[in-house]
Amino acid sequence: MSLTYLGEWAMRFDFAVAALGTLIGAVGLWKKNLACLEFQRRSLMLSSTLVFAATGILVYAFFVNDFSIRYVASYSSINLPAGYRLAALWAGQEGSQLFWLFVLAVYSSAYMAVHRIERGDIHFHATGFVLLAVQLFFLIIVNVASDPYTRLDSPPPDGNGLNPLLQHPAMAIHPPMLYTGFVGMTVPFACAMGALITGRLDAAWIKKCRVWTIFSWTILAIGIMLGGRWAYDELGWGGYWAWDPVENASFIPWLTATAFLHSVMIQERRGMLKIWNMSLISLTFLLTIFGTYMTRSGVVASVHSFARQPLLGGIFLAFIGLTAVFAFGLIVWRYPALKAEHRIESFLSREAVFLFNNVVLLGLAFAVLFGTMFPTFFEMVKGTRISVGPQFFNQVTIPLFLALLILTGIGPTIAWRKSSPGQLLKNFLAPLLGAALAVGLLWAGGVNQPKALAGIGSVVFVLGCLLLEFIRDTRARQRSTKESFLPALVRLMGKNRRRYGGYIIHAGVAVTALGIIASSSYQVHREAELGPGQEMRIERFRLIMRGLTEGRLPNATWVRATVDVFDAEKNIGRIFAEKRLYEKTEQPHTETGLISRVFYDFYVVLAGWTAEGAAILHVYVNPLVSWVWLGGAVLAAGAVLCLWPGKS
Amino acid sequence: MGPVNAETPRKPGRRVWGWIALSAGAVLYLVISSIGGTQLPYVNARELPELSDRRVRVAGKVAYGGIELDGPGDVSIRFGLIDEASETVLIEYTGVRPDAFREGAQAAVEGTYDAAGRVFHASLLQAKCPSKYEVGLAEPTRK
Repeated sequence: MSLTYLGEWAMRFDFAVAALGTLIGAVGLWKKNLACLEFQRRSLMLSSTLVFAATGILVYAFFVNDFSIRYVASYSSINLPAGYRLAALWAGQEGSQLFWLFVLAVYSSAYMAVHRIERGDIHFHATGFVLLAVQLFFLIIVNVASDPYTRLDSPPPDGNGLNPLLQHPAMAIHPPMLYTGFVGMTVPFACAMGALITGRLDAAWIKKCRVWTIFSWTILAIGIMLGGRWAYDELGWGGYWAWDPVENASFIPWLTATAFLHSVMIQERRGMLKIWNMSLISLTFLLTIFGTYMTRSGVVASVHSFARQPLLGGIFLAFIGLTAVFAFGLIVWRYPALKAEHRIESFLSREAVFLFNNVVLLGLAFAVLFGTMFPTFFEMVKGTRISVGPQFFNQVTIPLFLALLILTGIGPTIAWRKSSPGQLLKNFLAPLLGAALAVGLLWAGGVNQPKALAGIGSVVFVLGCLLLEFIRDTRARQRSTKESFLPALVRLMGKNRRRYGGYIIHAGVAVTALGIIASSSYQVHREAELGPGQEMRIERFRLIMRGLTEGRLPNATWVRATVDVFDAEKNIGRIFAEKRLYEKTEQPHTETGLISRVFYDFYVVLAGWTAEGAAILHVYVNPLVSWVWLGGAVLAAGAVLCLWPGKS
Repeated sequence: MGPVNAETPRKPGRRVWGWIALSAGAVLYLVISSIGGTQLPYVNARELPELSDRRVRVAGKVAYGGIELDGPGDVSIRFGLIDEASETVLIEYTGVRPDAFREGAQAAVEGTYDAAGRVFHASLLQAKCPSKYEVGLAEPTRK
C-alpha cells in the first residue's frame, strides 16, 4: 500500500524538477550556454521519468485496489476486469490530466531519442525547452487543481466501479488514440517555436517537424474515427457523429493541422507563407489545449463534459493566453526573417489550390468552433441559454466539405507554379466525365437528392484524378525502365513514399466521404412492435422476431430479442439486440445488434418490450456505412507509407 | 503555355489573393448568418405556457420517483424534469431512452409544450453521458 505514496511524491517532486529545468533552460537559451541547456535536457529526461513513475504507480494502485486514493475508489472496484483497470486511468477528470502528461512525457522521450545526435544543436534544446514548459503546465494542473492522488480519510471497502458504458473495447483504445493525436501536436509546435527562438528559420525545422505532425495527425484521425465507431456500436441511435462538443473539440485541431500539412509544403517548395505556417501550428497547439479545456472544465455543456471547475478552467485559460502571447510575440519578433521569397504566379497552380484548401479548412474549423462555443458566449452576453444543434453544423459544413473534397482531387494533379489550361483539361477531362457518368447512372437508379449526387460525383472525380495520376506516373517510369506495370508501380511508390502515401490518404478521405454521404442521405429507419414469430419489412429485407429471452451476467441482467434477417428469401443472419441492467449502478445499457455487409449495415436496437412478450424494435438500414471506417483504414495505410523510415 | 505568360508577373498573384480574401469572407458570412435560423432557446418551466407550440429545449434534473412506465421494457414514458428554478415540468417521450437516463440524472429535452394538457411532448431526450461523472464518493446522492 505504501508504495503508492512513491507515485504521489514523484508527481510532487517533478513539479520542482520541471520548474527548475524550465528556468535554467530559459537562461541557457538567452545566454547560449550549453551547460545550462544540458541541465535542461536532463531535467526533461528526469521529468518524463517521474511522470512515468507517477502514472505507472497510479495504475498499480488500481490493480492492488488501493481505495485510500479517491480516484481509485471512484472509478474502480474489486470485481473490475483487469483490462478495464488500465482504462479506468482515463475515465475521470484527474486521471485524464495525468494521462495527458504521460503521453507528453512519452513524446518528449521519443523526441530526445530520435534526435539525440543533435545534442550540440541549439534548436534541439529550444524545442526541448518548449516541451518541458508544457510539461510544467500540466504538472501545475495535477498538483494544484486536479490531483489524482487525493486521499480519503476513511477508505471504503470497495470502490464505485467503472461506468458500464466505458466497459467496451473501443473505450480502451479510443481515448488513448485521441490523446496520442492531440498531445502529439505539441512536438511540431515545439519545433516551430524552437525555430523562432533560435532564429533558424530555413527549411530544416519543417523537415524535422513534418514526421511528428503526420504521425500525430494520423493517430488523431484514427482516434476520431474510433470514437465514431464506439458511438455507432454503443449508443444505439444508428449514427456515428452528433456534433457533440467533445467530438468537435477533437475535430477542430485536426482541421487546422491538415491545413498546416498542406501550406507548409508551399513554404518548403516556394519559400512562401512563413508567418502563416507559424501561426497555423501555434493555432493547432492552442486548439488542442483549448479542446482539453472545453471538455475538461465544464465550460461548454455537453453530454460528456465534466463538472464545472473554475480553478482548473482559470489555469487553462491563463496558459492559453500566455502561450498565445508567447507564440505570436515570437512571430512578431522574427517578422523580418519570415518574409516570403516568391510570389504566387498563377491561379492554375498548386500553391493557389493549397491556399483555397487552407481557406476551406480554416473556414470549417471556425464554423465548428463557432457553433460549439456560441451557446457559451450567448449565455455570457445575454444571460439566457440556447442550443446549437446538428442542423447548424450540417447546413454550414456540407458546402465546405464538398469544396474540400473537390480540392482533394485537384491538388495532387495540378503543377506547382503554373499549369496551362490545356494541361488541366487533359488531366481533368476523364475524371469529370467519370463523375458525370456516375451521377447520370445514380440519377437513373433513383438517387435524386442533390447533395448526395454532388457528393458522390465529387468522390468519383477525386478517385478518378488520383487513379489517373498513379497510371500516368507509372507509365512514365515504364517508358524509361521498361518494367512491366506492377513492378513499376511498386518501385515508383517506394521511391517517392511521401507523395504517393499522400495520394493514398486522399483516396481514403474520398472513401470515408462516400460512406458519410450515402449513410447520411439514405439511412432508412423504422420502428415496430413484434411478438414472437411476427415479421416486418424494411426496404427489401424481411425481419422475423424469434423471441425474447432473459438472462444473467455476473454483474447484470439482460433481456434479449433474437431476430432473423432475410434478404428476399435468403437468410443473411441472426441478430441479438440486448438491453442490460447493471446491478451496482442500476444503469441500463443497450447492446445493438448488427449485421455488417459491404453495401449496407443492418442495425437493430431493442427499445423496449411489452408484458405480452413483444419486442419494440428500432431497425436501421445504413447504406455504405462501413466505408466510413474502410476509408480510415486506407488513410492509415497511406500514412504508414508516408512515414516508412529510410531514404525516400 | 504561350498566351498565359503575356500578363505582367505580379498581377495574377494579386488576383489570387483577392479571390482568397473574397472566399474567406464568403465562408465567414455563411457561418455567421447560419447561426440565426438554427439555434433553439433553453427555457424554464415558468416560460413554457407562453411558448406553446414553439420548438424549445428544457434542461434539468430527472425527478426522483417521477418516471412513470409500465415495466422496464416500456418505450412510452412520462417523467418530471426539475428545471434550474426548481420547478417541475411533466415530460412525455416515446422512443429509445439514452442509457444514462435515470432518476436524478441531468437531462435535456427538445420539443413543444402542450399548454392545454400541461405536458411537454419531447421528440428528443438527452441524458448526460456518465463517462466523466464525479459520482459516488465525491458527491453522495442527495435530495
